[in-house]
Amino acid sequence: MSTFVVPTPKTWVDNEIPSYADLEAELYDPVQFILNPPAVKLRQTTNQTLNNGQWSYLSWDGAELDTHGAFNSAGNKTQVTPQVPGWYLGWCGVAFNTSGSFMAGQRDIEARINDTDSMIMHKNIPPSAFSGSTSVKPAGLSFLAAFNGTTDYLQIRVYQASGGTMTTIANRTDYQPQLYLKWHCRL
Amino acid sequence: MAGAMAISAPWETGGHSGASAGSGTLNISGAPNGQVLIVVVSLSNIGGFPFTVDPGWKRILASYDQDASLNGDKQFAAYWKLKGPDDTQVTISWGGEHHQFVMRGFSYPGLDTTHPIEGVQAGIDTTGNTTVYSPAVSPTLNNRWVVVINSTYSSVVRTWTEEAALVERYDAAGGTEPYPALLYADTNGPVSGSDLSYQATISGGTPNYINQLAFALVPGPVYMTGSQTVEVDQTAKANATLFMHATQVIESVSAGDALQMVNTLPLPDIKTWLNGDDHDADTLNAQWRDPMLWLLKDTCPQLHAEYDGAGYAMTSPQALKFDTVTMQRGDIQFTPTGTKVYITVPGLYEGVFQGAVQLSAAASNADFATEIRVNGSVIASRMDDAITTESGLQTGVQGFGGHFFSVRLNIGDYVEFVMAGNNWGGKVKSSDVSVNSIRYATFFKMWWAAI
Repeated sequence: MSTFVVPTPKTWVDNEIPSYADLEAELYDPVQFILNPPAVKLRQTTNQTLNNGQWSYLSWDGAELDTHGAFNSAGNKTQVTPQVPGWYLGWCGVAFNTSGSFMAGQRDIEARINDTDSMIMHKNIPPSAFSGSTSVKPAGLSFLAAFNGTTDYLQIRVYQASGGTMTTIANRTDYQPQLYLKWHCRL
Repeated sequence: MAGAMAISAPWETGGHSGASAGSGTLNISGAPNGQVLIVVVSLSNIGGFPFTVDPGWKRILASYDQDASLNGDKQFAAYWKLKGPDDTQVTISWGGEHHQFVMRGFSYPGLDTTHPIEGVQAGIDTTGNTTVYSPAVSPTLNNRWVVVINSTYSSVVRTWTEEAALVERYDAAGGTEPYPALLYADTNGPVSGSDLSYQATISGGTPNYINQLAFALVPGPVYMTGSQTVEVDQTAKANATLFMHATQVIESVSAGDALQMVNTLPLPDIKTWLNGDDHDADTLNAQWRDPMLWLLKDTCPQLHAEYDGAGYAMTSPQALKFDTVTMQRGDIQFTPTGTKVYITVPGLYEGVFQGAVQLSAAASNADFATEIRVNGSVIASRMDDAITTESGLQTGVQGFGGHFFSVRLNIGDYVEFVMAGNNWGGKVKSSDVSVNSIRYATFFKMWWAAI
């Protein structure tokens, strides 16, 4: 059970005078929550193999920001599990290599909850996006997703059909796969 | 104006009468808090001193009030106050003279709590006729009630009979001679027109001078949720000025204009605190709880909707349909199976959007874009994707998601989620399918983000 609670402002009644405890619970706590909502930002710093014609779940190497312990670096590094229930606004990005033998085929990027057919966000990147291009192709998703604060986890997976084996481009900070989640509102 | 708060029949204190050397005290503890309470007093003779009342009560001014030579100033008076929990009684004084008196209070639900009364007119009927007409009142809008008060005194018990357009609330008679004779009546509903005057007849033969007061009751504002059509009947006025509380926008219309107005849940209106400011429950809830709820996105507008249908043929540009609302908070208007999201709270809105399509056959050089359009033609945001052939795609289904947008919207604006492109060739259909454990669906989520 989550130990983090989303503040719920009380309704004041006639003749009620805020006490010291009220000021803490009804002013300090909610304002702190609003100013510093649960958030996590992850990066991949080691290239990851992306096999042809398969989905690859992005593995995260570290957290730039993790206010409420959503990422467990000792556990399944493809998963991020928000510890505060609510809707989260998120974005993720990955770069696809379009040089040489990696010009062909489509790409996909998808955000998934609990590795199920959930309607979080999916993006097809058709082959034409890579035709004639010799540069790296960044792609990303923005999404809003609901988490129960205990068991729900998020994964980002990518698909490539270039015909060959690719890797992510994690040795450049501007191309590194990234994932960001920030608490948006209560469930 | 349809849609304004409705006035309804008053709660009454019960009559209070007696004989006193200079004042009467009326018990008002049972009157509803937060409502306007009108209190009237009538004496059995003309007093030698003007009336005074407890602090906080506002006199319903009449043109004869300040003229000491006329009876009205010293035979009856009417006051009003926004009644609070500490108001248990009210004392009206007439300066040490002994008189019979009658007092009564009337608390009307639905009155404007700042300016509940307008168009006060006073007069004295000196004709000696038993049938008298009230001073003429011209309400400024057709949602006002009119109150008529006739007051005199007599050596006999007298009763009033008013015309059918009035409902009698109080007809005071009795006690001991000399008798106050007080009629308090209202129209029991909104009236229209100007120079409205109402007839009443007193029993018992030729009366003394009859002191008269008439005024209009003003209804309070109402916050409407949802879009509504409001008809403004301003036949007596050339122009109307409308105030929309949430946005402080003032709209002016001319007579005969058709008007569609959408009221909104108000944005939190944060005050600046001063030394000595009271912090009653209403203030704490309005200034503390409500802004917190808004910032936590419990009450600000937010809408999530998706398409769950069997698909339909698309042509470019295609405003996408959504048939299922999965979250709706605050005031934001959308009708399932429609395409338009109507805005009733202005501000900066953010959101995410995915459109999904299915191609029935290969489409050469086809391309797709997801667009956020405002009021039909303004493209606020666009993301482009391209497709040349169907090969390599998963059974011809494409999901174009991840479109994050932000757009500033005003009251009455509508947003549509559009897919546009070229070379579709009649082969494009909307999609809601799961293929290879991927959900290809059309949905959006949008929310109020800032002022």
